[in-house]
Amino acid sequence: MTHGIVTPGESFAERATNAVANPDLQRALRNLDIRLHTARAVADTTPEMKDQAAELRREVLADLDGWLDTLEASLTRVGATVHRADTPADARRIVLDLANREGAHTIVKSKSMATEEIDLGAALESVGIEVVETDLGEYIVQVADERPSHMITPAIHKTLDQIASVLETRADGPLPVEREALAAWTHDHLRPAFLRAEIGISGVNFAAADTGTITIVTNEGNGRLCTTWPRVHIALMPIEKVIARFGDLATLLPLLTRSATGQSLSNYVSMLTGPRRDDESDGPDELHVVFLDHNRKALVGTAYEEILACIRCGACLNVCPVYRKVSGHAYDAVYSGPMGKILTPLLSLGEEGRDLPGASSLCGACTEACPVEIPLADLLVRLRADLRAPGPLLPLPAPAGLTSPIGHHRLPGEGFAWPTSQAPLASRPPPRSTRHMVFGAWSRVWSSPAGYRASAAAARLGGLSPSGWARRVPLVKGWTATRDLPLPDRRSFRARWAARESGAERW
Amino acid sequence: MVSGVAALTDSLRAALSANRVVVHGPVTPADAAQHVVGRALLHSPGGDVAVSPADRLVAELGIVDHLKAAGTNVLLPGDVGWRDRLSAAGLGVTGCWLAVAETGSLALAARVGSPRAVSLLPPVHLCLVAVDDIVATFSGAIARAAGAPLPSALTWVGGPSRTGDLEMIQTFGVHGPSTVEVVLVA
Repeated sequence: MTHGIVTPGESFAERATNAVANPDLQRALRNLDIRLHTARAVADTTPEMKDQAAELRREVLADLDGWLDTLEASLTRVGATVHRADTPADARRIVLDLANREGAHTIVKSKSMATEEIDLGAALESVGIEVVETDLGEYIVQVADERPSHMITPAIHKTLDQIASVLETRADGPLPVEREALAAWTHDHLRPAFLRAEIGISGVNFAAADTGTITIVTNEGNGRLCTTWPRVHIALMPIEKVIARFGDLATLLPLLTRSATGQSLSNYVSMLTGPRRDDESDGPDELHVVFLDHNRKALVGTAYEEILACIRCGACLNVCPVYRKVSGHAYDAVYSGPMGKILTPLLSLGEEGRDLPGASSLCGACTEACPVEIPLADLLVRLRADLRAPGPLLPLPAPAGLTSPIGHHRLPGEGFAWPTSQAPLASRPPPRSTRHMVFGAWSRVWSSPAGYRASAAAARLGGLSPSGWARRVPLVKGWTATRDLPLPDRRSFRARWAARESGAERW
Repeated sequence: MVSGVAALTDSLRAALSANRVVVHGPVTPADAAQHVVGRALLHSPGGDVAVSPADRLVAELGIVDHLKAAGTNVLLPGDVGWRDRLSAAGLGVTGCWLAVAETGSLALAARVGSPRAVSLLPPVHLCLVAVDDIVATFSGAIARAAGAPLPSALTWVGGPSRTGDLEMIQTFGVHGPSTVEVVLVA
């Protein structure tokens, strides 16, 4: 397995091309479509919920340092120990020191993107500690020596046959390709690890500054086990997970679970306020909370601050037409999909994932899906522009109007704006780039019915040429090399409509 | 929002059933105790039955005495080998702090005599719910929790352990109990 935020190697375009050509992956990804439609029908979010949650997240970001100080004081008051880590290396060292002090042989982990971000598992394994991922999806990718491809369902890229084959490498004999049986086997196989582990490591979904309560959501119960049975519980918390008040969970928690899985509340929610208390029979003796910065504070006050409002629900991945086709590994980053395309270059200050913001059609589905109203498409456009300059990415304080709708955005030096204004194109500034000329010509042709008919007829002629024709269009090769257009039907929509209206063809 | 004990009870029953929880009652306290004994004999024949003795209904209904009278091995926190025996117990019996009708959630508060793992390690979790402890909404429950000192662990249980990691199809029984039963007590 490769480690760090991003593995080096091929470009996103190459990885995406391979992903689309992988029939097993495409078969596995169909489950995302099915799940999305059924889940949304169960528990959707309302605009009011989103507005309220968005406001709560911005309230915290407006004074992140202040809320972190309050949280630290509260955690200390309830008996937890707070550690502050500026870098992933700092966070790894803090956890390694605790593991050494504890003489830990086995550590059980519940799913945490933050631990992936700092590559904690590999660091612990390198000193001989057995690290067991206990979320079933995480366990599957751990055994397969891969990384999660989705922040909520890490093994979404695998079919049931593949999963059974992977788990079989840890079983005494063949495993049936049957879901209940595989779940039961996982229960029996991993239970001893929970019972013998000296340390449980988790992430944090929300940390309430006023009460020092950390909240963790799971469905399988592995999160509860990791935070209940081992003597020491270490929670790794990216600093933006802080929320102002315990009461804010009433808004944020249902919003997270509805957006993530369509559940009105996840199956298990653990609200932990300090370690076990005197004479309690279980719960950890020690609770350590590690605040992870990793360039997050550098984003506060910049145009990119909004990405810190993210609650890691995965909704933007689920609706993204790019993610749904290529899956998480194509991004070659811990955080994939729309939020990952933004967060990866930012957390690495432009060292990693520079081509990721380009991996988007800017359709805006992510922005619409985001339960905390992060203008993801806006941020992608801005990041593309900022990453055009070589060298490290140094986010600057936010200019006014950052959160304007995407239609109003104009990139510096590019002369291309999304045509959402009511003004005729002719009144816009003269075209300066090839791209602008192409779109300008297209717009003029399609502005008249005759032009539209002529172009459609021409496109159908183009349909006589083999697949991949769009990649060979001259002048805009940089843009078309990784894109294709499906071949048009030989007959126009108008012709087919007329045939059916007249009864010559059946509907 | 639903109000009134009967409406809240119906609403909770529907939400719990949707979460794959087996719901019994509402029944009288005496009948509830007898029901618990019957389930203990069914789920843990000859084995340990773990109980959280400090939970209000468990104490008020004398569940520990009823179970002992029926000849079951009752496993209590503080018993020798509690930690080692808990994972092998066939059933965990708890009460709850409150139940949420809207989401079908059982809120369990950890404290002395109410450990976290009784509802977690055994394969079956049986939870006694007083109909007076049902609240309509999750936000209402959070407001109640925020108004008092928080326990070391406040756990919200929706139903049996489940995963979406196998081709995104809900599959029951991973790390937590594969069966959750609720007895509503009038």
